[in-house]
Amino acid sequence: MHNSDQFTKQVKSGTNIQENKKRYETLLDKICLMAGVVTGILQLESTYGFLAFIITYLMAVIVYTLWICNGRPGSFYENTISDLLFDNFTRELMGFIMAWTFSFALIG
Amino acid sequence: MLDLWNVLLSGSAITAAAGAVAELTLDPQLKYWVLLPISAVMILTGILRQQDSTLIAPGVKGQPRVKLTEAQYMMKAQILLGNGSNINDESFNQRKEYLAKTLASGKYVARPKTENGKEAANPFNDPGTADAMMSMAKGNMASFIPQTIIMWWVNHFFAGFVLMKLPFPLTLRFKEMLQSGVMTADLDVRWVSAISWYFISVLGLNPVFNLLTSENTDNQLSMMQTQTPQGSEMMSQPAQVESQMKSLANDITIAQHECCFDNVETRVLNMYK
Amino acid sequence: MTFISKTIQYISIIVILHSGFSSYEFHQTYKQLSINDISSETLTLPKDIKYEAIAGFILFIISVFISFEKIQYFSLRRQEGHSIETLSQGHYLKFISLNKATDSDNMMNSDPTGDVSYTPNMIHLHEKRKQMSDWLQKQQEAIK
Repeated sequence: MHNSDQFTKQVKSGTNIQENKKRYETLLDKICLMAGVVTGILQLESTYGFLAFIITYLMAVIVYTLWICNGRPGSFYENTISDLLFDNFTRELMGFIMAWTFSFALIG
Repeated sequence: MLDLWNVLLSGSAITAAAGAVAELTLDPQLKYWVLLPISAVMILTGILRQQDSTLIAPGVKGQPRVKLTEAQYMMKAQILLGNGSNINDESFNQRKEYLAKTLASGKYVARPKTENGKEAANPFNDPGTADAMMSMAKGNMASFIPQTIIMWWVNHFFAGFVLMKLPFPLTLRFKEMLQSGVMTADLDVRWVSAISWYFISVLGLNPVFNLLTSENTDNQLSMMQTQTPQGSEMMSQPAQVESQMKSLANDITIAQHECCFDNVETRVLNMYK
Repeated sequence: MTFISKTIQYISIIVILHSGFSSYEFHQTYKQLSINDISSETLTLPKDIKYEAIAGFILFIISVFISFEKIQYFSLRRQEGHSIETLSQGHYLKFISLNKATDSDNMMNSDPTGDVSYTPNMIHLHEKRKQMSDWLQKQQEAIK
């Protein structure tokens, strides 16, 4: 019935959605900037550096899902895959590249 | 040995014996004196821009009370249409009848005191639209001008030398952009000048700003919520307003009411089955 | 918990800075060697510097994750027999489905629409409406 379809969809709390996204973004920012610094310290070059970024990013996502979200990210984020994986990817990649270039130039 | 070292440090190129890539030896002091000042300047301008947004933002314009009344009655009708499923039939019908009657009669339309013939229909003369356009222009300028100024500053003071080696390779198209001051034909694209650090920073400083301004998050969220009711009055003419009100009255009269309380028992039982 | 996370964070930053400095010294020495003696064998970064940098990074990640705390509230209404204690739903993030998100409001006796429903005109609203409708009825009966 049209009535029950319209009302059985759960109402979401908008402020909580934004707050959760903001905390996740701050966590990823810290991890990716520090990953850039360490990649520059180790003087990793093109392929190995990006590989290090991908590995760090995926490990961060996995540990976040298992530890902070208690294994159920669906109750804290709608569209979990896009929220956790894709939304912040470009921004973190740019931050990683900036920190990587900075420490690569200073150490090398 | 010391003379040789000094000569080498002044930046001459040495080709490696294998002949693959020219390994330049650059003055290490160069990096400290270029990377850190550019980063410091960009971070400080970013913070300044965030703090100045309250100064540049247009203040809340006061409007005459009759206009507020008319806008709020129209908003009330729209809200009733949108959220009407949350109240029961009797309340909805009461509100529907009252609003349909009021809007159709045009009781709250704001009529100006001057005669109708003198009204300027020109949107550029209306102070409301002028303010809205000024605020949009100011917002665009606030982000555009500091970037231009910093780019000019970097090109003026940090030009004409090779600064560092990028950790990753790029295509030849970027050579012209990133090696702007150095006129060599076959220097590898990985050796860049100072302007490349500016471009990389512009893209990559967002996480840094997020970490530096993490104290203001609560204020920003609540400020965003209190600022949305500001409406820019783009049309102020009674004829348009009256036709809007009549169409809203029509919409309300023909609206079907679906109440969320109708099947609530079945839904609760399904949820906790 | 944030105290532990802050100390681990500072320790990890110091470790990373130390490994960075060691790496810098190594590369300066390597450059000098390769300029003087072009045919030297290729030296790579010593393993202990690498492991120190990676260990510092892992410590930093652990400290960032530890800085998340379970969300706790103070009860707003002190009831008999209850001291001021912290109540918690036991999770690190806030729920997004509204029926679970408002559980925390119920738990600590807070009314999110309180600034509207506790304005003086709105208190005892139903009694006021009933009084008004009774009075109106009496007027109509008096007219008849």
